[in-house]
Amino acid sequence: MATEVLMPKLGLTMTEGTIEEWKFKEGDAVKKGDILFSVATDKLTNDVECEEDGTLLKILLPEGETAPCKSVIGWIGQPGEAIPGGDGAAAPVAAAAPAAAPAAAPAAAPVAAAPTAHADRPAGAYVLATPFAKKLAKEKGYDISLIPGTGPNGTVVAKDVESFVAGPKTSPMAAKLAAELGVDVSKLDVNGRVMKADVLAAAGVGAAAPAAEAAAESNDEKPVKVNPLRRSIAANMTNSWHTSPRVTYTRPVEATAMKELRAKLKDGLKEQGIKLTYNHILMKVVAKALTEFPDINASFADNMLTRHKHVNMGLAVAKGDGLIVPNVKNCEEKSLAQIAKETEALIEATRNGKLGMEDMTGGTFTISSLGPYGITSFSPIINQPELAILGVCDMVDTPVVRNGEIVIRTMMNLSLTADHRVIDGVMASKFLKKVAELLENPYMLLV
Amino acid sequence: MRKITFSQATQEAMAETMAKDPTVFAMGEDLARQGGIFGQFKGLPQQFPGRIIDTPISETFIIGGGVGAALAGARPVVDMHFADFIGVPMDEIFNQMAKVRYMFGGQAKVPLCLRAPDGSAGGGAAQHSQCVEAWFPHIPGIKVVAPSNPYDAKMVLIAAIESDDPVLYFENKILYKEKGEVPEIGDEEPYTIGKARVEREGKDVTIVSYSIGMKNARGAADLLAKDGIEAEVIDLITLSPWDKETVLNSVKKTHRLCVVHEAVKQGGFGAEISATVAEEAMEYLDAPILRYGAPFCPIPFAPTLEKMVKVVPEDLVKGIKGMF
Repeated sequence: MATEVLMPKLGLTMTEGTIEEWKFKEGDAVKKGDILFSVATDKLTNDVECEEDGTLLKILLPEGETAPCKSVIGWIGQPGEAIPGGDGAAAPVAAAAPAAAPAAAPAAAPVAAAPTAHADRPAGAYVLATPFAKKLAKEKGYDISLIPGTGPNGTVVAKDVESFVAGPKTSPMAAKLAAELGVDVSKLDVNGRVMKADVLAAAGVGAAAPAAEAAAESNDEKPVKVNPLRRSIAANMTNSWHTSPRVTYTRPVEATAMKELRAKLKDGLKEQGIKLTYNHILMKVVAKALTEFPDINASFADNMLTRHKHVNMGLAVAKGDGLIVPNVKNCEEKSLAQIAKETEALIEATRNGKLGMEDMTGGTFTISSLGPYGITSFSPIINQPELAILGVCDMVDTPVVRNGEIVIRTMMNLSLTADHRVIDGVMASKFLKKVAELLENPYMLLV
Repeated sequence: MRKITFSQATQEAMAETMAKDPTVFAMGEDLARQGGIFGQFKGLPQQFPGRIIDTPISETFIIGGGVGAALAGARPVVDMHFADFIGVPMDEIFNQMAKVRYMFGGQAKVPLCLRAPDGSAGGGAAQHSQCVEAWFPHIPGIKVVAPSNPYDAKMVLIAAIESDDPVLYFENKILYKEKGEVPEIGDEEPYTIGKARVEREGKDVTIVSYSIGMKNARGAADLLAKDGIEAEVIDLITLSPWDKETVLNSVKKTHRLCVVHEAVKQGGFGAEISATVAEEAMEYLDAPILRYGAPFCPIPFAPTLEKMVKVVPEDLVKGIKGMF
């Protein structure tokens, strides 16, 4: 009997995957253990091994297309064998997109088209759900069509309903418009029911929109589907924007001592093959400061604050046209040399695409540095579910007043974005002050 | 605790009821001279002279005579030799045995126990291997039981003989030789016809069976446990009137149901269980109901083919894993 080839679920957070490449053609003989295809997830590309000997009878999901985890993407069996009716074939996630895209394109600019649960199914399609899942959804007041299904053939089962985080209730008209305009209603900040006007407001569409739309159309290139990494970034950033009421606090720090420290250490470390950068010093300093601010090295959900025992320091790393945040575990316990070594290894792995899932999860705080690009102040977005992120700015020789005299000092701005649900202004300022003290007097790290 | 075979357990049940009640007697083919074709009456003819009676090869008479004796005040146990032969006295069963009490407005009763050895036991071929229990829960007026282990075999047979209504007692031929724990005589709990038993508690899936099907249920539960799936195993014991409440309560807890029996799946008793759960607990199901039984074909004579029509625990494991 022919055997299904399924979209694998590689890790807890993976909900769908995109076929990057089929390594075999239909009709090719395959052996157990052969690399059958490679699949791109939000973050990584993985090779997937064939699970049995036979012939690749059918490829249901072409390269570049996306399907939910556990959906059937192909069949393996004996040459000439019939495959079961095509039932349960993965409907590419994008199936509903072409219809929606032209309408969405002109208006969608201000709206992040985050991938949402209902995007996995064509609009209006019958939702496969078990009776118990339907009962649970009804009791909880959820719209079952918004809940992603992980059961056989994408059926919504009870655990999907239990793990679903509901967005606000939506009027049918609003839901229809939201689907057309690519607005994620679960992210809308609305009291009570989401109505048509809320969706239009979110999409930035006013009464004059139709005319503007017509004029804009000719100026647009054909919309392109962004890659999974960009989709993941879009979803995460939108989620963060709607989750954390944030305030950015910026203060100047004198970087003279930090520069001296690096100058004194870097040659010695270089002999050991370790490259020391300002980022490494900042990571060490911030980790140390965080040990005194347990409510910042924490995460917050459902009115529960989870403090983390260790500082897993994330560093925003540019990768191609995207951004990835690997983290150094237990950063507060590590020496500067260790931090430098591990950070550089993570950056190397990020750029080579060799990063493991564990390197990207479990972060408790993030540092994002735009100093090398001449930025002197910015408001970074919090990497959820963390509570704060530190933006590091350019070092600039600046005239400052010291002991009543105007002198030149190397100054650097630190921009801390903090989630005001947990971190009030005083705590944020005290934390920044602590970081500044440590940077201006790094001997304190020895204390 | 002492261990005895299913067959010995039925002998004890017979001996105890016969000792207690002089109106209890047994009749059928080859009971007195042979001790029953499967040895299940061995020793009883010597212990109770004249009360284990051999009959001619006439199923019509065996049942008809049993019904007459019951109406006349005795408490007969009649034996069908093979359950496969039960079609011959069908009128005696569903029109007389099952209906007489109702037709006489309750003025007469039929305290008769009809024993029917069933199941495929290796080389019995299509006419001596069947499980026909599903025909009878469709008939108002008779009770149907099908124990799965020696202890139940004894207690259910005692309850069947002591019942004032006719009871059809299905005993599986493979189970006869199986040993199991049975308390010392006098320490047993009486069985109430109509009660199922939750034999093993679990939270992930409910497996319902009876008679020899319980071997599949237990086997599957053991295998599933290795993969972290906790199966709740229910032994129905009685098929009519069957214990809906126990099954429904379990499904409401586990949200998944798997039904298994050796009998042919189509029209099998599993269909009744499945339909009842779909009717009364639909909203509690988190996966389609799984139903296992023999394929729709006569039991083949060739041993290799006979093996092919049997359900094995691995079949259930495969299906149940697909529910998650």
